[in-house]
Amino acid sequence: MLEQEALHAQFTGSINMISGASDSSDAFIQSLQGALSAAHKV
Amino acid sequence: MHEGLTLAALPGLRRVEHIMGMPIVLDVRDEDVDEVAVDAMFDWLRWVDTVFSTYKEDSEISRYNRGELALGDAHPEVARVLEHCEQLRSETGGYFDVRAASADVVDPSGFVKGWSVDRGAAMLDAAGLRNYALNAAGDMCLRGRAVPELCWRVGIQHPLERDKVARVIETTGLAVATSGEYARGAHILDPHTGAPPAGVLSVTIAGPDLGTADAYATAAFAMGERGPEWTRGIAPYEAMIVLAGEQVLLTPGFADLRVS
Repeated sequence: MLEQEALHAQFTGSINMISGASDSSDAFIQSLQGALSAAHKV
Repeated sequence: MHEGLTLAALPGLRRVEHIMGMPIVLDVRDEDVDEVAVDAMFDWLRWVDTVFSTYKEDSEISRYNRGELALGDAHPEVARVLEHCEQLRSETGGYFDVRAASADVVDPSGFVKGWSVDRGAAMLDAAGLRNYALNAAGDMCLRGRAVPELCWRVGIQHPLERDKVARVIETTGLAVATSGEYARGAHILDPHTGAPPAGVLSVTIAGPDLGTADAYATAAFAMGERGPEWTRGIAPYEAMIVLAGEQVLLTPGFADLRVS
């Protein structure tokens, strides 16, 4: 059986990557920001 | 910055390149990175784009679709990819279909992205890379750990509140792909009816290969309300489906990936 629960919205703290619909610029931009901010601080 | 780790401590390499019409992010967390292998991986993705792009008039796929190139004269990868797409069409009851838009033209883009990222990841694996994420516009392959103490944490984008996530999963080695309409309007059609599917906001599939995960996500989304039932039979792939009624359905294995 599939488990069922209500949809919740969580903030994006403490994650490394975001999986979103293809061409989802939002998901991408967040991934990019994470990667770039990491790069700048290394 | 106050999550127990500072970014300044991150080893490895971060690189972004725009290929196949999308940004590809590679985030490596190994201490030493073989940059020659990283260059070769990005070269591979660019090669895939020149051969498979339906937007480039001189790509082999475009020439094949215009009848200017026989399959036997194309690069052997073209036939292999189309064969694999045919297998996925069969596995998905016709819901993943490279001819969905037109019976006269093949568009394998929905498989090529994930397949090429899988192959790119295999190149990095062969070069000794152990801990990295390779993310093609929201669909990704993950290996190893983000830091020695922590697995990769992947947020599944909330389909209605796009600055938030609907769930966070934790993994040391998986591919994760999400399909939905919220990014650019209706572009996935039910190939059997030609109409956009109803009742589902997004489908996320996690499993061993990104090419398959991406095709399954597209197919399950196209199935609409029948998608959840279909995802019960796709092990070792696991599914998370967000319904239009703001309910979330999860296969047991996907539920086990949860960290928050």
